[in-house]
Amino acid sequence: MLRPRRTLPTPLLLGVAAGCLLPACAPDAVDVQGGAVGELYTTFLLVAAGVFATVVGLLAWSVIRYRDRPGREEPRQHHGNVKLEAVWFVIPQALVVGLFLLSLSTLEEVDRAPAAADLGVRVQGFQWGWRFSYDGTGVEVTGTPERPPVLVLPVGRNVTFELISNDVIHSFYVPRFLVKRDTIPGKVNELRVTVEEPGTYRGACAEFCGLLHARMDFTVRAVEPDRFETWLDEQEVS
Amino acid sequence: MATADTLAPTTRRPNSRIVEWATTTDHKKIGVLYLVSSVAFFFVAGAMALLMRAELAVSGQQVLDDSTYNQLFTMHGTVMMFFFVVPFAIGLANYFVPLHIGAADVVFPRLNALTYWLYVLGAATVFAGFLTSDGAAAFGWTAYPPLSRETYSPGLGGDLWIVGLASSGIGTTLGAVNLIATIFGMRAPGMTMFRMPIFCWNILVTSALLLFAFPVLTAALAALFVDRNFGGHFFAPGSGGSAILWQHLFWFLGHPEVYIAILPFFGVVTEIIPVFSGKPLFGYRGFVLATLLIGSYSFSVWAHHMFTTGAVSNPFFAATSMLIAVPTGIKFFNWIGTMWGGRLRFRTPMLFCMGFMLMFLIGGITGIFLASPPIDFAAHDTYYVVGHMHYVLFGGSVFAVFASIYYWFPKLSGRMMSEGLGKVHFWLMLAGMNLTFFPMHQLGLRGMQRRIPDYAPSTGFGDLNLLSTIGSGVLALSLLVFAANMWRSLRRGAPAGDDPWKGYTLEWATGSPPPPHNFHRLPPVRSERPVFDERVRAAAPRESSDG
Amino acid sequence: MAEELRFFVRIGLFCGGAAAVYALVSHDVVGTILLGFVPAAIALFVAPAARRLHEPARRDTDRVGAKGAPGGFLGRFVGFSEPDQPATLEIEEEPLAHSSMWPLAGAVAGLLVSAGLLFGAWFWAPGAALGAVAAWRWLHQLDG
Repeated sequence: MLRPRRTLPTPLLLGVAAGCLLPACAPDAVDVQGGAVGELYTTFLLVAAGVFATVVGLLAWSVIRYRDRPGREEPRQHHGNVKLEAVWFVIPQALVVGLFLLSLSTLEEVDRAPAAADLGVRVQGFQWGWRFSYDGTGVEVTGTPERPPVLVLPVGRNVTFELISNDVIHSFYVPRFLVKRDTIPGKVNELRVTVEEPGTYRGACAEFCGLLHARMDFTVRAVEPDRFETWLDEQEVS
Repeated sequence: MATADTLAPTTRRPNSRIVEWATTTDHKKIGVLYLVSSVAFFFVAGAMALLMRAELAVSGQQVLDDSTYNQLFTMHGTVMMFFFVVPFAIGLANYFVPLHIGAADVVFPRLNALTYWLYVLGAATVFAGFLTSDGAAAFGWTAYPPLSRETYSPGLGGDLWIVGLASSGIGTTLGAVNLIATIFGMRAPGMTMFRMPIFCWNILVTSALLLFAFPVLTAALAALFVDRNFGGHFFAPGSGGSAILWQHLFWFLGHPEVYIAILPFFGVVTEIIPVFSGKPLFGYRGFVLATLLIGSYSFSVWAHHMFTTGAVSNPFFAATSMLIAVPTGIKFFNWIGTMWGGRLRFRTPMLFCMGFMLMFLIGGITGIFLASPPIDFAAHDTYYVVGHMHYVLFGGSVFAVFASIYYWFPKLSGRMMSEGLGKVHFWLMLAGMNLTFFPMHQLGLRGMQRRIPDYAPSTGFGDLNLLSTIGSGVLALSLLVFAANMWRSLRRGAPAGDDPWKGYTLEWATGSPPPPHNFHRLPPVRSERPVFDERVRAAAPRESSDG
Repeated sequence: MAEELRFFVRIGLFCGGAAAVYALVSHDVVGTILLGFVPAAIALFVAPAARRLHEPARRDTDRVGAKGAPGGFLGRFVGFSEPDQPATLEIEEEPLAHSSMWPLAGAVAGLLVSAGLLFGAWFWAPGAALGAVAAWRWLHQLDG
């Protein structure tokens, strides 16, 4: 019971702070590129938490300290302070420049062409489904809302997706990849992904594309390379 | 509102109430028309949002079919952006800019009336889509072609959407011209540019954005109309057109539009905080500079909505989109600087300003996340964006809308609103807003994409969606409290007097509601707080103010 | 330079600079044209208008000890035609703009014309007629 306030442990405070951040955390990525995005997100989140705490702290302090109470004298009519304003111009400016440079390096990491593209997959979005064609094999998987397609990918290989569309704009989106790209008629887009963790992941269309937009789902199954080869051999060549 | 029975028409002889309002050229009446219409649209579009939230509460489809859902989110976005937030701001500007600068009316009173009628008839045209056999427009408020071309959205609703938006857009452009001319041309003697209330500065910058951004939308809409009806190929990728071109044109309007939707409300908050802090604004010139910077930057950030198209320079737009956060940061610190050392009275308008600051802070911070292209690759077109944008537009603009209503209702009607109901409204709205929109960030990160009426149970989105729907119910309840407060105060509110808040700016130097020509007598304008200066002079006749 | 003009020139300079940087970084024609549109509109239309409007302001309507830009040059509209007013202004009741039904009629004419685009050109006849009447009466009313 002696001075209980002194014993409030720092880890507990940090734990509470982390608990507050938890609902704002991104899920773990299952690919290399998404991993970089996730790290960048976490950095942003920590900076954001600091900024939020500072501003809310100042706000809360002024609300508590300067609220109108009986006997409070007339406040001094103070019109500003240019030096102070310069300080809070320069600090956010430095902060966003830093965040911009970080973003730039991550952007490069995400978009960088791999030394060797191990596998090319042509992804065509259409109203309302997907067609995945594996380059150089003739294997093609097509799915519709009734029978969603499965995109089988080898783990640890550099996959280059070639994204196309012939009707409206769709967006190739696997949430656990933490990267997405649009399929745009009249344009060929590229997305590079290296899946690291085997598993089954949900895929969807992210760009609104009409009536059944919500049902343009697909599934990604990431498997070990040898099982991928076996699977590829089993497919009928269309 | 109750202005009609107290305005004694001396120079006009209206035949009846309806004719009087339909033919009015009085900036205050046109302002009231704008305010009432836009709040009505807010309730309509809010009801649409409630329907959508009801549908999303649990997996499976219970309330709406796909087509209706698509129409509803399209109309919700369109109505909120084009027929509520911006017209509400224009309504405030119409009513208060002439009062703030000591003028009797705007420069072009008849043009002013025309802008209102173009806006209302345009909105009615867009709504008429619901009466057609195929329903209203259902391609999202962003209307990306090719989806919005006739091949994929053949209904009449889409054409009505285009024509209605163009009509109200032309009205808005003309309104901007009128406001700029009024601010430049009608200021009272002594009212220099740097003595204008910050609200007027923000309206000036907003009007400049409207002036340069809306013609681009009008042109784009005309091109889309030609594509749909006269076999054009502007946005047809197969025939030499480009699907990306629309996105450039739309967002060149669309992003300034976001600042058009928030800058006037920065102005509102900047008027209210000093009054309830008992201090002048901290750093007036800094505020003007920050507003100008936001206005200028806002023209160069449009393609941060297009990071995932692979068709734009991502680093350029990342840089500009992050830089635009800095002037907004300056405003935050200046607001805190204004409160620092003051004597803060937490009446309802001030409470809403506090809510505005907290909520907009969150929306601003998540905005920086989305300005980073890699993070946008993860979050784009998911509920993360929906959450972000509602923290900005609901937590920001709508909280400030209510701050402005509680602050200026006594001036418009001559009656006070109930403080008790106002506080209930505020706390319910704050709780409801966070319950509704905060879970959306996590939903988006987990992969719930935008604009879907349903999700599979296996996605695990159910719990957070249910929470969000409950929150939307709380929001609806808070708005009912507001409506009750309005109803009660219009009839039985306590008389307000000329200056119930001990205000600073010229609107408090005249009657509530003001006479048709606004002022019988204008205090000398020697600082940005003429009414405060006069109050000080009256209290201590020998001392002169140092404003 | 008047504050009013400076306001637009600043926005124009910023967008002009942004257009140059953007053109170099992205080689994108559409965005460059869009960014260039703002300074072009300011240089060709807004700035000349602002300058022309500002001429009458050289008569000093701002005797109350203001620094910087003077007060409104259209101030006479509300009864400030006398430059040497007292510090506290007594404002006489000025005749305000008349009520007018022509703005509403003009908007309805616009609605009819756009309905013509959607439902058939026969809407244009009443639309154009009403528009012409509204414009004529509107202009006529300005004299009275």
